[in-house]
Amino acid sequence: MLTAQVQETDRARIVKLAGVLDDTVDFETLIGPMPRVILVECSQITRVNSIGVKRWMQYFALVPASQAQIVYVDCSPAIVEQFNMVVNFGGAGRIRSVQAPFTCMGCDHRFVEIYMTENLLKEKFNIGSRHCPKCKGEAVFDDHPAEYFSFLMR
Amino acid sequence: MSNSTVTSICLVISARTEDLLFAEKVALSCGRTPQQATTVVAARAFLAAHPDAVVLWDVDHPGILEKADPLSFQAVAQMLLETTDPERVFAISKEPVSAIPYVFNIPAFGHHLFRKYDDPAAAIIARIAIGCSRSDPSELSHYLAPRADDESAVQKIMIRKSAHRRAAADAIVTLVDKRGIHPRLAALAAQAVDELLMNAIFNAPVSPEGNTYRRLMDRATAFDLSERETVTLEMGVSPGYVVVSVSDQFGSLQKKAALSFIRKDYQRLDYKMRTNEPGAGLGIYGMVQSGLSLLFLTRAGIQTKVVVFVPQLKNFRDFRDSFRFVSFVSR
Repeated sequence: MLTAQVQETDRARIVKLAGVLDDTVDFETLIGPMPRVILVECSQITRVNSIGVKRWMQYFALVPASQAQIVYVDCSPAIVEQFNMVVNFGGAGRIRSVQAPFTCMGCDHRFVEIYMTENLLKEKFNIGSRHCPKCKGEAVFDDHPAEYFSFLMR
Repeated sequence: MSNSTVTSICLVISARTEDLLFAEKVALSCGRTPQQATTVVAARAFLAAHPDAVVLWDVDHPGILEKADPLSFQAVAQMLLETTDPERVFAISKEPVSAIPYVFNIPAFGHHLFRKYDDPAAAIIARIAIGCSRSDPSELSHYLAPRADDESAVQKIMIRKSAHRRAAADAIVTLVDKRGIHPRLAALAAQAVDELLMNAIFNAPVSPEGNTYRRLMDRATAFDLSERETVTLEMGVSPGYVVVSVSDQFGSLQKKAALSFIRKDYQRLDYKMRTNEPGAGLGIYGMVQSGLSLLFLTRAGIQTKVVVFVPQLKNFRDFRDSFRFVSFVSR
């Protein structure tokens, strides 16, 4: 089940989504009618099923860019997978940042770091290793950049 | 292993050394002799002598679409259709099957494998090859390694209410998490079970006249499943992987329909939303695209069982690099 925290600011509606994106979701009820500018924070979306994809696209992807400005931020791996698998998943929206998964080589601790898509493109998806926040050992990006960031390479 | 359930050869129609080495491993695992054919003529001769051979077929070598090639797609596919059963044929390629659309022109294969031959690929393919030769290939234990401990036992859950689908998917996360499987893989397994349960509850049921009667229902609708609509979820563990299966009692899923979802390429072409029904048509596509391996077992009018193979890997990058397959077996 998907939940949403909605916050209105002068410039945009900020929506923080969390949980499982599936057939129980009703975006009209969760978020309301599509506003002029919307920031969709996706860091806590853990799973997505096919009906969830359809509902998402009915709400976000059918809106022309001239009617609404949609910005996706901090997209979790579950959402990144959808951007990779379905070319028009985000419609006219822009993906501003994504979570990149890391695994520590020493203690197997798993964590994510946020990357701005703009920087990923500039740096040609060259993601180096990180320090594990738990043991300070070397943590590596736990995916293949060419696959995980394929939605940015189209 | 009983000799009555195996045949003599595992034929690899490929000039690639790696395919031959893999065929040798598969053959060893299922008590057969590996044979290599590098021309259509040679392959035909082997199959004439061993009509029940298991066939591994390279479907993406350079030149495969040229008529003059000794293993041209057209010539090999026609020969296979004339000499063997597609369920004995494992097509092998480096790319996903959606990236090699010509293979759908002549569907002479029942299985597709990625050319990534890490363990336990050979053992799994050998089990599937043996499973295909059985009169009832649907027992989940056919696809698990025999073990001395209790882990060889298959756990079974009966789903009698449509609303139990989500709890079942959550239970899968817990099960695979206990095996130390990467959380992203656990989430993919749960997504797959969710999709398969949706298919079993809403798409599989057909009336005696052959009409689907739950297909147009909203997928969030809660209702009790009748005795025949009851869906079975099974789980088992084997060295290197966990298997989960979902079975309905209608056997209405056809290979052609499943292939039509798999061959889609929504990474390049826009997905067009279905507006005339609640389903999305993305379930099977998403499972295959995610990298999970699937075995579809259909007994027409009796049962469709879909088995998901989840590799026991601790990091996701290894999963991206790991062996995977899609298989269809029908009775």
